[in-house]
Amino acid sequence: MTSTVSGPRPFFLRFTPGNRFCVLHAPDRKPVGAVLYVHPLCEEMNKSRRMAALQARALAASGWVVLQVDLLGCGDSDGDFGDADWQRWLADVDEARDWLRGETGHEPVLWGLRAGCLLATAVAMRASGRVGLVLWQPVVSGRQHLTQWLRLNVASRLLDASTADRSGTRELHARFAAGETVEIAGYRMSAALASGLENAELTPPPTPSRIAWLEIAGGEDASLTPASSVRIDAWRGQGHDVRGQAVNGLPFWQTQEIAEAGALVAATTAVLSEWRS
Amino acid sequence: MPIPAVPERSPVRREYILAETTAARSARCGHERKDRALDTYKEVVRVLDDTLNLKRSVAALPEDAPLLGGIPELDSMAVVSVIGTLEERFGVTFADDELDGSAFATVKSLVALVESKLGA
Repeated sequence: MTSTVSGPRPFFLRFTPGNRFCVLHAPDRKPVGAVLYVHPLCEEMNKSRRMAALQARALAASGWVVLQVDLLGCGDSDGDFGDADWQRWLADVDEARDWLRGETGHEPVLWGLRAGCLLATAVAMRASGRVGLVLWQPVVSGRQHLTQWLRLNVASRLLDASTADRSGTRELHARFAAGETVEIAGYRMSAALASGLENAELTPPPTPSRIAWLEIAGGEDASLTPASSVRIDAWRGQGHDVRGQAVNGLPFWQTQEIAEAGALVAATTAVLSEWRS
Repeated sequence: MPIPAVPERSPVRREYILAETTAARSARCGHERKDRALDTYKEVVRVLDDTLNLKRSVAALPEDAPLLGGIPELDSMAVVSVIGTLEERFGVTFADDELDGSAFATVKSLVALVESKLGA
Protein backbone atom coordinates (compact mmCIF):
# COMPACT_ATOMS: atom_id res chain seq x y z
CA MET A 1 0.00 0.00 0.00
CA THR A 2 1.32 3.42 -0.85
CA SER A 3 1.31 6.08 1.80
CA THR A 4 -0.38 8.54 -0.52
CA VAL A 5 -3.69 6.68 -0.47
CA SER A 6 -6.05 8.28 2.01
CA GLY A 7 -9.64 9.39 2.33
CA PRO A 8 -12.66 7.46 1.15
CA ARG A 9 -12.28 6.06 -2.37
CA PRO A 10 -15.38 4.93 -4.27
CA PHE A 11 -14.90 2.18 -6.84
CA PHE A 12 -16.53 -0.94 -8.24
CA LEU A 13 -15.48 -4.55 -7.69
CA ARG A 14 -16.44 -6.98 -10.44
CA PHE A 15 -18.17 -9.97 -8.88
CA THR A 16 -20.24 -12.66 -10.53
CA PRO A 17 -22.65 -11.39 -11.62
CA GLY A 18 -22.13 -7.65 -12.01
CA ASN A 19 -20.34 -4.89 -10.16
CA ARG A 20 -20.50 -4.03 -6.50
CA PHE A 21 -20.13 -0.47 -5.34
CA CYS A 22 -17.41 -0.14 -2.72
CA VAL A 23 -15.89 2.59 -0.60
CA LEU A 24 -12.41 2.04 0.73
CA HIS A 25 -11.19 4.03 3.70
CA ALA A 26 -7.43 3.74 3.98
CA PRO A 27 -5.02 5.25 6.51
CA ASP A 28 -2.20 7.49 5.42
CA ARG A 29 0.32 5.07 6.86
CA LYS A 30 1.04 1.37 6.93
CA PRO A 31 -2.25 -0.23 7.95
CA VAL A 32 -2.54 -2.08 11.23
CA GLY A 33 -5.34 -4.30 9.98
CA ALA A 34 -8.41 -4.57 7.77
CA VAL A 35 -12.13 -4.33 8.47
CA LEU A 36 -15.02 -5.31 6.21
CA TYR A 37 -18.38 -3.66 6.87
CA VAL A 38 -21.52 -5.72 6.26
CA HIS A 39 -24.59 -3.53 6.00
CA PRO A 40 -28.12 -4.23 7.25
CA LEU A 41 -31.28 -4.62 5.15
CA CYS A 42 -33.59 -2.23 3.35
CA GLU A 43 -34.32 1.01 5.19
CA GLU A 44 -31.94 0.12 8.01
CA MET A 45 -29.12 0.28 5.49
CA ASN A 46 -30.13 3.77 4.37
CA LYS A 47 -30.62 5.08 7.89
CA SER A 48 -27.19 3.87 8.95
CA ARG A 49 -25.09 5.13 6.04
CA ARG A 50 -23.87 8.08 8.02
CA MET A 51 -22.85 6.03 11.07
CA ALA A 52 -21.08 3.49 8.86
CA ALA A 53 -19.13 6.29 7.18
CA LEU A 54 -18.27 7.94 10.51
CA GLN A 55 -17.01 4.65 11.95
CA ALA A 56 -15.04 3.80 8.83
CA ARG A 57 -13.34 7.20 8.90
CA ALA A 58 -12.57 6.88 12.61
CA LEU A 59 -10.98 3.47 12.06
CA ALA A 60 -8.99 4.68 9.07
CA ALA A 61 -7.70 7.54 11.21
CA SER A 62 -6.42 5.00 13.71
CA GLY A 63 -4.67 2.92 11.08
CA TRP A 64 -7.26 0.45 9.75
CA VAL A 65 -8.22 -0.18 6.15
CA VAL A 66 -12.02 -0.35 5.99
CA LEU A 67 -14.00 -1.64 3.03
CA GLN A 68 -17.70 -0.90 2.65
CA VAL A 69 -19.44 -2.89 -0.05
CA ASP A 70 -23.04 -2.59 -1.24
CA LEU A 71 -24.35 -6.12 -1.70
CA LEU A 72 -26.13 -7.22 -4.89
CA GLY A 73 -29.24 -5.13 -5.48
CA CYS A 74 -28.42 -2.69 -2.69
CA GLY A 75 -27.23 0.90 -2.77
CA ASP A 76 -25.22 1.64 -5.90
CA SER A 77 -24.36 -1.93 -6.81
CA ASP A 78 -25.71 -3.76 -9.85
CA GLY A 79 -29.04 -5.51 -9.72
CA ASP A 80 -32.42 -4.74 -8.24
CA PHE A 81 -33.26 -5.56 -4.68
CA GLY A 82 -35.70 -8.10 -6.08
CA ASP A 83 -32.72 -10.00 -7.59
CA ALA A 84 -31.02 -10.37 -4.24
CA ASP A 85 -30.87 -13.65 -2.44
CA TRP A 86 -29.22 -14.66 0.78
CA GLN A 87 -26.71 -17.10 -0.71
CA ARG A 88 -25.58 -14.48 -3.22
CA TRP A 89 -25.08 -12.00 -0.42
CA LEU A 90 -23.00 -14.51 1.54
CA ALA A 91 -20.89 -15.03 -1.58
CA ASP A 92 -20.55 -11.23 -1.94
CA VAL A 93 -19.25 -10.90 1.61
CA ASP A 94 -16.89 -13.82 1.00
CA GLU A 95 -15.55 -12.29 -2.20
CA ALA A 96 -15.15 -8.86 -0.66
CA ARG A 97 -13.24 -10.39 2.24
CA ASP A 98 -10.95 -12.26 -0.14
CA TRP A 99 -10.27 -9.07 -2.06
CA LEU A 100 -9.54 -7.08 1.09
CA ARG A 101 -7.25 -9.81 2.44
CA GLY A 102 -5.41 -9.91 -0.88
CA GLU A 103 -4.96 -6.15 -0.95
CA THR A 104 -3.85 -5.68 2.63
CA GLY A 105 -2.31 -8.97 3.70
CA HIS A 106 -4.47 -8.81 6.84
CA GLU A 107 -7.30 -11.18 7.75
CA PRO A 108 -10.26 -8.79 7.75
CA VAL A 109 -12.28 -8.23 10.89
CA LEU A 110 -15.96 -8.60 9.96
CA TRP A 111 -18.10 -5.73 11.21
CA GLY A 112 -21.85 -6.17 10.88
CA LEU A 113 -24.85 -4.04 11.74
CA ARG A 114 -28.26 -5.62 12.52
CA ALA A 115 -28.96 -8.30 9.86
CA GLY A 116 -25.44 -7.69 8.54
CA CYS A 117 -24.32 -9.56 11.67
CA LEU A 118 -26.19 -12.65 10.44
CA LEU A 119 -24.25 -12.49 7.17
CA ALA A 120 -20.94 -11.73 8.89
CA THR A 121 -21.22 -14.60 11.35
CA ALA A 122 -22.32 -17.01 8.61
CA VAL A 123 -19.25 -16.09 6.56
CA ALA A 124 -17.07 -16.37 9.68
CA MET A 125 -18.34 -19.94 10.08
CA ARG A 126 -16.45 -20.83 6.91
CA ALA A 127 -13.16 -19.37 8.12
CA SER A 128 -10.41 -21.77 9.04
CA GLY A 129 -8.67 -19.69 11.66
CA ARG A 130 -9.44 -17.24 14.41
CA VAL A 131 -11.87 -14.54 13.37
CA GLY A 132 -12.50 -11.02 14.61
CA LEU A 133 -16.15 -10.01 14.69
CA VAL A 134 -17.69 -6.67 15.55
CA LEU A 135 -21.46 -6.97 15.99
CA TRP A 136 -23.50 -3.79 16.18
CA GLN A 137 -26.97 -4.37 17.62
CA PRO A 138 -27.05 -7.85 16.11
CA VAL A 139 -30.24 -9.45 14.88
CA VAL A 140 -30.22 -12.88 16.53
CA SER A 141 -33.11 -14.49 14.64
CA GLY A 142 -33.55 -14.07 10.92
CA ARG A 143 -37.12 -15.31 11.16
CA GLN A 144 -38.03 -12.68 13.72
CA HIS A 145 -36.34 -10.00 11.63
CA LEU A 146 -38.25 -11.07 8.53
CA THR A 147 -41.52 -10.96 10.45
CA GLN A 148 -40.66 -7.45 11.64
CA TRP A 149 -40.26 -6.35 8.01
CA LEU A 150 -43.47 -8.09 7.01
CA ARG A 151 -45.35 -6.23 9.73
CA LEU A 152 -44.71 -3.02 7.80
CA ASN A 153 -47.11 -4.37 5.17
CA VAL A 154 -49.85 -5.04 7.66
CA ALA A 155 -49.17 -2.15 10.05
CA SER A 156 -52.40 -0.35 9.32
CA ARG A 157 -54.38 -3.57 9.85
CA LEU A 158 -52.56 -4.28 13.10
CA LEU A 159 -54.04 -1.20 14.69
CA ASP A 160 -57.50 -1.48 13.27
CA ALA A 161 -59.63 -2.86 16.08
CA SER A 162 -62.63 -3.18 13.76
CA THR A 163 -61.05 -5.89 11.67
CA ALA A 164 -60.85 -9.45 12.90
CA ASP A 165 -58.25 -10.22 10.24
CA ARG A 166 -55.07 -10.97 12.15
CA SER A 167 -53.66 -13.27 9.47
CA GLY A 168 -51.18 -10.54 8.40
CA THR A 169 -47.62 -11.82 8.50
CA ARG A 170 -48.62 -15.50 8.38
CA GLU A 171 -50.15 -14.98 4.98
CA LEU A 172 -47.00 -13.21 3.75
CA HIS A 173 -44.76 -16.01 5.08
CA ALA A 174 -47.00 -18.43 3.14
CA ARG A 175 -46.56 -16.46 -0.07
CA PHE A 176 -42.78 -16.69 0.28
CA ALA A 177 -43.09 -20.42 0.94
CA ALA A 178 -44.98 -20.66 -2.37
CA GLY A 179 -42.01 -19.02 -4.12
CA GLU A 180 -43.57 -15.59 -4.60
CA THR A 181 -41.78 -12.26 -4.52
CA VAL A 182 -43.44 -9.88 -2.07
CA GLU A 183 -43.09 -6.12 -1.98
CA ILE A 184 -42.38 -4.86 1.52
CA ALA A 185 -42.36 -1.12 2.17
CA GLY A 186 -41.08 -0.44 -1.33
CA TYR A 187 -38.59 -3.33 -1.48
CA ARG A 188 -39.34 -6.36 -3.65
CA MET A 189 -38.14 -9.30 -1.60
CA SER A 190 -37.61 -12.61 -3.39
CA ALA A 191 -38.55 -15.95 -1.88
CA ALA A 192 -34.87 -16.89 -2.03
CA LEU A 193 -33.91 -13.91 0.08
CA ALA A 194 -36.75 -14.46 2.51
CA SER A 195 -35.99 -18.15 3.00
CA GLY A 196 -32.27 -17.47 3.53
CA LEU A 197 -33.03 -14.77 6.06
CA GLU A 198 -35.67 -16.88 7.76
CA ASN A 199 -33.21 -19.71 8.37
CA ALA A 200 -30.37 -17.48 9.55
CA GLU A 201 -29.50 -17.56 13.25
CA LEU A 202 -26.74 -15.63 14.96
CA THR A 203 -24.11 -18.30 15.61
CA PRO A 204 -20.49 -17.81 16.64
CA PRO A 205 -17.66 -19.35 14.58
CA PRO A 206 -16.50 -22.90 15.34
CA THR A 207 -13.03 -21.65 16.31
CA PRO A 208 -12.65 -19.55 19.48
CA SER A 209 -12.78 -15.97 18.27
CA ARG A 210 -12.63 -12.38 19.38
CA ILE A 211 -16.07 -10.87 19.31
CA ALA A 212 -17.24 -7.38 20.23
CA TRP A 213 -21.00 -7.22 20.84
CA LEU A 214 -22.00 -3.57 21.00
CA GLU A 215 -25.45 -2.19 21.62
CA ILE A 216 -27.15 1.15 21.82
CA ALA A 217 -29.34 1.92 24.80
CA GLY A 218 -31.01 5.04 26.11
CA GLY A 219 -30.02 6.77 29.32
CA GLU A 220 -26.75 7.20 31.12
CA ASP A 221 -27.02 3.74 32.68
CA ALA A 222 -27.04 1.98 29.31
CA SER A 223 -27.01 -1.77 29.74
CA LEU A 224 -27.10 -4.80 27.46
CA THR A 225 -30.53 -6.29 26.91
CA PRO A 226 -31.29 -9.31 29.10
CA ALA A 227 -31.56 -11.46 25.95
CA SER A 228 -28.09 -10.39 24.76
CA SER A 229 -26.43 -10.99 28.13
CA VAL A 230 -27.62 -14.59 28.15
CA ARG A 231 -26.28 -15.21 24.66
CA ILE A 232 -22.94 -13.56 25.37
CA ASP A 233 -22.46 -15.74 28.45
CA ALA A 234 -23.21 -18.83 26.36
CA TRP A 235 -20.63 -17.82 23.75
CA ARG A 236 -18.02 -17.24 26.45
CA GLY A 237 -18.80 -20.73 27.69
CA GLN A 238 -17.88 -21.98 24.21
CA GLY A 239 -14.44 -20.42 24.51
CA HIS A 240 -14.99 -17.15 22.67
CA ASP A 241 -13.43 -13.94 23.88
CA VAL A 242 -16.58 -11.77 23.90
CA ARG A 243 -16.70 -8.13 24.87
CA GLY A 244 -20.30 -7.11 25.52
CA GLN A 245 -20.97 -3.42 25.92
CA ALA A 246 -23.93 -1.05 25.73
CA VAL A 247 -23.40 2.62 25.04
CA ASN A 248 -25.72 5.57 25.27
CA GLY A 249 -27.28 6.72 22.02
CA LEU A 250 -30.22 6.62 19.64
CA PRO A 251 -31.13 3.56 17.55
CA PHE A 252 -29.80 5.28 14.42
CA TRP A 253 -30.79 2.41 12.07
CA GLN A 254 -34.45 3.16 12.65
CA THR A 255 -34.81 6.77 13.82
CA GLN A 256 -36.94 9.00 11.65
CA GLU A 257 -34.18 11.59 11.47
CA ILE A 258 -30.66 10.45 10.60
CA ALA A 259 -28.91 10.09 13.95
CA GLU A 260 -25.35 9.72 15.13
CA ALA A 261 -24.16 7.62 18.04
CA GLY A 262 -20.71 8.99 18.80
CA ALA A 263 -20.27 6.75 21.84
CA LEU A 264 -20.64 3.67 19.64
CA VAL A 265 -17.95 4.90 17.26
CA ALA A 266 -15.62 5.59 20.19
CA ALA A 267 -16.29 2.19 21.79
CA THR A 268 -15.73 0.35 18.51
CA THR A 269 -12.49 2.17 17.77
CA ALA A 270 -11.29 1.42 21.30
CA VAL A 271 -12.03 -2.30 21.01
CA LEU A 272 -10.19 -2.58 17.71
CA SER A 273 -7.20 -0.71 19.17
CA GLU A 274 -7.05 -3.35 21.91
CA TRP A 275 -7.22 -6.16 19.36
CA ARG A 276 -4.38 -4.61 17.41
CA SER A 277 -2.00 -4.46 20.32
CA MET B 1 -2.71 -0.14 -2.66
CA PRO B 2 -3.87 -0.42 -6.29
CA ILE B 3 -7.41 0.90 -6.38
CA PRO B 4 -9.68 0.15 -9.32
CA ALA B 5 -10.33 3.24 -11.40
CA VAL B 6 -12.89 5.61 -9.96
CA PRO B 7 -15.75 6.02 -12.44
CA GLU B 8 -16.07 9.42 -14.05
CA ARG B 9 -19.38 10.04 -12.44
CA SER B 10 -18.78 8.65 -9.02
CA PRO B 11 -21.98 8.05 -7.12
CA VAL B 12 -22.86 10.82 -4.78
CA ARG B 13 -23.25 9.94 -1.14
CA ARG B 14 -25.80 11.88 0.73
CA GLU B 15 -24.62 13.46 3.91
CA TYR B 16 -27.18 13.93 6.54
CA ILE B 17 -27.52 16.46 9.25
CA LEU B 18 -28.91 15.44 12.55
CA ALA B 19 -32.02 17.45 13.08
CA GLU B 20 -32.79 18.66 16.54
CA THR B 21 -36.17 17.68 17.80
CA THR B 22 -38.21 20.06 19.84
CA ALA B 23 -39.67 17.51 22.23
CA ALA B 24 -39.74 18.97 25.67
CA ARG B 25 -37.80 17.54 28.53
CA SER B 26 -39.69 17.06 31.71
CA ALA B 27 -38.46 16.82 35.23
CA ARG B 28 -37.92 13.41 36.71
CA CYS B 29 -40.00 12.22 39.59
CA GLY B 30 -40.18 8.95 41.42
CA HIS B 31 -42.53 6.14 40.58
CA GLU B 32 -43.21 3.58 43.23
CA ARG B 33 -43.73 0.26 41.56
CA LYS B 34 -42.50 -3.15 42.37
CA ASP B 35 -39.73 -5.39 41.10
CA ARG B 36 -40.07 -6.72 37.59
CA ALA B 37 -43.25 -4.85 36.82
CA LEU B 38 -41.31 -1.66 37.50
CA ASP B 39 -38.42 -2.85 35.35
CA THR B 40 -40.79 -3.74 32.52
CA TYR B 41 -42.52 -0.39 32.79
CA LYS B 42 -39.19 1.44 32.70
CA GLU B 43 -37.94 -0.63 29.80
CA VAL B 44 -41.13 -0.11 27.82
CA VAL B 45 -41.01 3.64 28.35
CA ARG B 46 -37.35 3.61 27.38
CA VAL B 47 -38.15 1.73 24.19
CA LEU B 48 -40.89 4.25 23.36
CA ASP B 49 -38.59 7.12 24.18
CA ASP B 50 -35.68 5.78 22.11
CA THR B 51 -37.71 4.53 19.17
CA LEU B 52 -39.81 7.67 18.84
CA ASN B 53 -36.99 9.97 19.94
CA LEU B 54 -39.32 11.68 22.41
CA LYS B 55 -36.49 12.87 24.66
CA ARG B 56 -38.74 12.64 27.66
CA SER B 57 -37.96 11.31 31.06
CA VAL B 58 -39.78 8.30 32.42
CA ALA B 59 -41.92 10.63 34.51
CA ALA B 60 -43.39 12.20 31.38
CA LEU B 61 -45.09 8.94 30.48
CA PRO B 62 -47.14 7.66 33.41
CA GLU B 63 -48.87 4.31 33.14
CA ASP B 64 -52.18 5.81 32.07
CA ALA B 65 -50.61 7.97 29.36
CA PRO B 66 -52.50 7.42 26.09
CA LEU B 67 -50.28 6.13 23.29
CA LEU B 68 -52.24 5.83 20.03
CA GLY B 69 -53.83 9.20 19.52
CA GLY B 70 -51.87 10.64 22.45
CA ILE B 71 -48.37 10.65 20.94
CA PRO B 72 -48.31 12.11 17.42
CA GLU B 73 -45.00 10.36 16.62
CA LEU B 74 -46.67 6.99 17.12
CA ASP B 75 -47.99 6.19 13.65
CA SER B 76 -48.45 2.68 12.34
CA MET B 77 -44.85 2.45 11.13
CA ALA B 78 -43.55 3.59 14.50
CA VAL B 79 -45.72 0.95 16.16
CA VAL B 80 -43.96 -1.69 14.08
CA SER B 81 -40.58 -0.34 15.24
CA VAL B 82 -41.70 -0.38 18.86
CA ILE B 83 -42.96 -3.96 18.60
CA GLY B 84 -39.70 -5.09 17.00
CA THR B 85 -37.56 -3.33 19.58
CA LEU B 86 -39.60 -4.81 22.43
CA GLU B 87 -39.13 -8.28 20.94
CA GLU B 88 -35.39 -7.88 20.73
CA ARG B 89 -35.00 -6.20 24.11
CA PHE B 90 -37.01 -8.83 26.00
CA GLY B 91 -36.15 -11.82 23.81
CA VAL B 92 -39.80 -12.57 23.04
CA THR B 93 -41.85 -12.98 19.85
CA PHE B 94 -45.34 -11.62 19.35
CA ALA B 95 -47.77 -13.50 17.13
CA ASP B 96 -50.05 -11.65 14.72
CA ASP B 97 -53.13 -12.27 16.84
CA GLU B 98 -51.51 -10.83 19.97
CA LEU B 99 -51.08 -7.44 18.38
CA ASP B 100 -53.90 -5.01 17.95
CA GLY B 101 -54.71 -1.41 18.66
CA SER B 102 -55.85 -2.13 22.21
CA ALA B 103 -52.31 -3.12 23.23
CA PHE B 104 -51.21 0.37 22.22
CA ALA B 105 -53.96 2.21 24.07
CA THR B 106 -51.82 3.25 27.03
CA VAL B 107 -48.39 2.61 28.49
CA LYS B 108 -50.09 0.25 30.92
CA SER B 109 -51.66 -1.90 28.19
CA LEU B 110 -48.33 -2.14 26.40
CA VAL B 111 -46.58 -3.17 29.62
CA ALA B 112 -49.30 -5.79 30.09
CA LEU B 113 -48.64 -7.17 26.61
CA VAL B 114 -44.93 -7.58 27.39
CA GLU B 115 -45.63 -9.03 30.83
CA SER B 116 -47.93 -11.62 29.27
CA LYS B 117 -44.98 -12.89 27.21
CA LEU B 118 -42.60 -12.93 30.16
CA GLY B 119 -44.95 -15.17 32.11
CA ALA B 120 -46.16 -13.13 35.04
